[in-house]
Amino acid sequence: MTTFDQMLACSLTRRSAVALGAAAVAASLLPLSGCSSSSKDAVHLVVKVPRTGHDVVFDEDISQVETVIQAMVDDFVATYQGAPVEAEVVVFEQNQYDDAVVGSFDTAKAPDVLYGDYFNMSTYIHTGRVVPLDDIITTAIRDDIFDHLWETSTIEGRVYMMPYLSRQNVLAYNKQMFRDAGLERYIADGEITAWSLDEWTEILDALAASLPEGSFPMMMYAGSSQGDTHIMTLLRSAGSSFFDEDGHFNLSTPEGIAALRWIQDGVGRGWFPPHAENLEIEDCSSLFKNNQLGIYMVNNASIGRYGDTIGLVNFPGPDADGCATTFASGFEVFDNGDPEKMQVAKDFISFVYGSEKWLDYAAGTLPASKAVAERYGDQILAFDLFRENADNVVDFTGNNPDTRAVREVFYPCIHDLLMGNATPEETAEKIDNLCNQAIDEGVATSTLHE
Amino acid sequence: MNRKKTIGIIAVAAAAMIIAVCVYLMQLSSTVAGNLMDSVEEISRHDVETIEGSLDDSYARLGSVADRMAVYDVNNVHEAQEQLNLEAASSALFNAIYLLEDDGTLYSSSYVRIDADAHTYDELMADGREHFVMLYDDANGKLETTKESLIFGIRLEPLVIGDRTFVAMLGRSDLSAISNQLVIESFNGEGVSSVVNSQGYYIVSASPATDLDGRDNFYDTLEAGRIEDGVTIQDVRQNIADGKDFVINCVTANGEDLVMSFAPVEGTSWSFIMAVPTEVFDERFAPFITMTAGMLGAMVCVVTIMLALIYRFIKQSMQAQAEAAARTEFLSNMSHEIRTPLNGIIGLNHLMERHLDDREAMAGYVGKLGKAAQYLLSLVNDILDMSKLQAGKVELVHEPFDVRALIDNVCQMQREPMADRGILFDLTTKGLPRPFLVGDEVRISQVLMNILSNAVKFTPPGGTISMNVSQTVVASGRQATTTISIADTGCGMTPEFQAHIFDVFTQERNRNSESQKGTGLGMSISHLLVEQMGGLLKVESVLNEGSCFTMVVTLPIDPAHLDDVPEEAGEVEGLTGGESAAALGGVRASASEGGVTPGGDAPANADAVDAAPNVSVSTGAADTDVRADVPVDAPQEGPVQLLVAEDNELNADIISSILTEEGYAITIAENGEEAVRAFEASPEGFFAAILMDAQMPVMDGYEAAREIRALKRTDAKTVRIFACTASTFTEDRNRALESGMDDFLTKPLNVTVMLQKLQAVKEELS
Repeated sequence: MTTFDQMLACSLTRRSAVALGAAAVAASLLPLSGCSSSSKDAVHLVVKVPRTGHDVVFDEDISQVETVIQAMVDDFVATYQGAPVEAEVVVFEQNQYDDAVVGSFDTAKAPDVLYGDYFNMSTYIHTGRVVPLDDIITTAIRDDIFDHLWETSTIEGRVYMMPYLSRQNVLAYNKQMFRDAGLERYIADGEITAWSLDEWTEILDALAASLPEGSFPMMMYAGSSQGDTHIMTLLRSAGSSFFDEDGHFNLSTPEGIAALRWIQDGVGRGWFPPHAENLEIEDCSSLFKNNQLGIYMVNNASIGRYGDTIGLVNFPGPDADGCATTFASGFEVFDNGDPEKMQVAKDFISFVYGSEKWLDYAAGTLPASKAVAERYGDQILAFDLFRENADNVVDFTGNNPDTRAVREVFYPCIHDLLMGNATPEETAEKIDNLCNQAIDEGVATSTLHE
Repeated sequence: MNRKKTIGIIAVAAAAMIIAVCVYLMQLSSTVAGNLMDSVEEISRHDVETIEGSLDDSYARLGSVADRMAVYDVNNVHEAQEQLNLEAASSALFNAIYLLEDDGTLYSSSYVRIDADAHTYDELMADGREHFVMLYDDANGKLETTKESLIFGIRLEPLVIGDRTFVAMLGRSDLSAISNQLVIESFNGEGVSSVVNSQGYYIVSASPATDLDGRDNFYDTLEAGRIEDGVTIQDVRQNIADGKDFVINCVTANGEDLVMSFAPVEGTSWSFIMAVPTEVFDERFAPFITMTAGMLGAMVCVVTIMLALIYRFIKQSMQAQAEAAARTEFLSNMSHEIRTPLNGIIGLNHLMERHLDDREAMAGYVGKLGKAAQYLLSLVNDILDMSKLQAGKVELVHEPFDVRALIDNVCQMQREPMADRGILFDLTTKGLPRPFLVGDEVRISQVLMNILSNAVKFTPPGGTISMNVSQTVVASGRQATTTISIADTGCGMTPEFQAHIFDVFTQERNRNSESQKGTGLGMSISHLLVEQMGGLLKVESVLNEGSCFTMVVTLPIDPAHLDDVPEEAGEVEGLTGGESAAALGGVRASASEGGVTPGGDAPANADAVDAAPNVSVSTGAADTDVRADVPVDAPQEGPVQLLVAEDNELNADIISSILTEEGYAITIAENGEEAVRAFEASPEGFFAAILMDAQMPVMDGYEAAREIRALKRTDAKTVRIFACTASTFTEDRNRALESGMDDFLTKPLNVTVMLQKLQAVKEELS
């Protein structure tokens, strides 16, 4: 045994002996400490947030959204007039939503408040634990939030998520590559342009023909579910509405099949990196950053890193203006069986939305608050461009109750399409079947909080 | 063994036991901790081997890719990248694979080309190593991911593809994909393994980050808590950098005590960490503590029970022995007491046979015969009373009686013995408001008579006996509590004897008392009688100073006298001191006149004895002429001189009569001490033999024989001493011989045998 082991053994013995002696003292003091504990009556609030990059136009120190949430919570605890509150901000990784939320239900770490992206959070509304927030949405708050965000926050007429900010995704093209390919005419500075499907085909063919080996015209990937929303958006290129009126996938239509065929044809025409079915969005991101990719997706928050090297264009869409997608982020409040905690959680939301200061911290991307947009719109990069493009935003979730389940079955279908293992018709049918099955199962198990 | 000594021994034993237990527990704790540390180290070794095996497997897989790349039909780097893409897609381990050109350019399976100036991965093999593994850190150059990843690298035999030469191949794996395989829980999930690189970033962690921005640092974790035993974070850094095995004891920021065991992973700058909460050690130790405590408790219980049983057995054995001894003594006493009067009766019978015609002598013998028979009767009555009381068959009568008359009667009955012994008697009645009571007058008299006769028996001549009588009327007015105390200035009792004075078969042998006659049943009978009356009989006594017996009985007041006017408190009822003196035949008066023993006509003081030409050893009644003075001169011609030591007056008379008629000259001594004094005072060879009664007051026959044998005179060793005793047990015979006596004459005396033996002595002398 090493000297440390001996030391440890002695230490344990001492501890055991001390523990035996201390046990009696502790036992006698226990009732006293129990009575004298001031923290016993404090409400313990658990706020969870995924680690997410975030910029604020007036505060260069902010680079993560969890920093903002922590500051909000601290301010709330310090100024709350109700019962004493002890709040804990728990940061988790983006791929650990379920562990952080569902996995901690009925434990001391169950979230009372969750901040995150809607397409991940919306699933939890259907667990029956997320409470409607209509009772704390004042007229002022309702009027201050952009209407399209209320729509994505509302299920069956009740608001379950409080939008804080959003990001709009469009496509970006490498201007130099375009120039090299003789496509100067499609370069449109200072606007989010749109091309018809024929124009898209022409551009991609031109890029494929002109780009050197090791460079590729456009992003494409199906290695994982990451970034699949962009591929879904591309499936509207031939005029497909993507979802039917009930929110079910509806690609087995001429428009849907045509979009799939357009993509599959592109593989053979050299539009995408070889074996793109094995790539992930991060691969395409690296290629685009490395000037090896002509067209890639960006959002209003990320365009700054490219400067003037890129131009913006909507996804090919059902009309001449094309389409864009939006990602809202905001808050959910959970009912964990303690009405007092739930009320404090709601009070926290009211505190944030009643605070001009904390709403302003959304000013880095597209704020949900009109007032913040008004105050900081001129400082937010390309704010006006994206605000004007809001009319072209399409919903890629369909408010389906289990977005992640849908995503898990979607990308393998695209993988097969890109490999040529499935025809566009087969792919459309398979996507409709599998994704709608996931949606139906989500609906069947959905329970909304009363 | 006194109480303090006992407590001391117990305390020392308890302290020794506690020390032994503590030492045992320390050793046990040390052993358990040692075993657990061995377990931790063994698990660590196993995990490290697993990790090292996994790394080797990764290198091998990358090498296989390289081998295949060498045989693929690829003509340029772009085709090579496509092939790498397919390899990565089919690999369960690598998310991306890279070829490093000899100019430093890196080509990935996702077609990204990273120029030499944009990364430093080529430098990782600059030291000539054949492979490496590192935790992805974009400081070495950004790859296509922001996820926590491992980068494996192997050196290639120069691989030429087209016009380019590749010198190394890299593989990138998501850390989350492999770390789950490497996380090994131990100690029921409480011990957690992890791997950190030299910068403290986790390669394997129980809760790994997925993004570079979110990764935790081991040193930050340590810094948030504290390391114990003087170890610093810098020490930990240095040990990890030096590839050392070591252990630290630390407390996390959450206050959790952890034991961390570190082991280097060969071929890397990583360290494997096994973190085990200290409470795991305590939990493992707890069952041993519980078992030990239980075992010790059981042992203590067993030993205690065994000791209790042994103690009980010994106590019972001692009690049984004591009871047996008491019974033996009782039987011996009874034997003595019964044989003594029988001895007298037989002796008288012998004398009467020889004096049938002598009417006067016959009258005296018959009178003495009656006394002996009366004593036998009282003895039998005592035994019967005792038996009845013990069987609960004594029924008390409840009849009116006068307490004053009762006391008067009792005192009158002891008048003569007290007068005979020159004892002063003082009766004090402090208040007797209700003298007419209802109760068993006879039994009360029996108790008082027993106490008073004992007092007389054990009080030396010139001593005092005081009787105090008092009474209080109870609240109801229908009963009175009468307290009668009888105190003497006798020999008193030892505390041990006091504790057993009321037990059956008990009679203290007191050498200082003048008499120890009796069956030992009197006090037992008295105690049982008073108890049956609902009263109390208690005794207070100081050895050599005297005893005081107090009887307290509460009895109903005679209904016929309920309406009597009570006597005033303090008024002396019944016999007053003066009256008692008169009533008792002037006992007090004669005593107060000093030196004159009532009825005694022999000199009573020592001066008179010393002044006499012959030593008088008779202090008792002088109604026998055989009590002769012992001559101080040498033996003269005449009858053979015999010394008879006998405390029973009747027996002494009878023996004296028989032997005198046979021609012997007799000197009587009432106890052993008198016998020794008589022998010592006699001329050498004066006494031919001594008949020594064994049981006598003051000094018994055995002791007297020993003292005589010890005297420094020529005949002390030769004088024949016959033990005369009613005790017929073998041990008594042996005891007599051991004390120096020559022969044994049993009581009742066989006169013929006695005379034959004395005749033999006479013939020897002649």
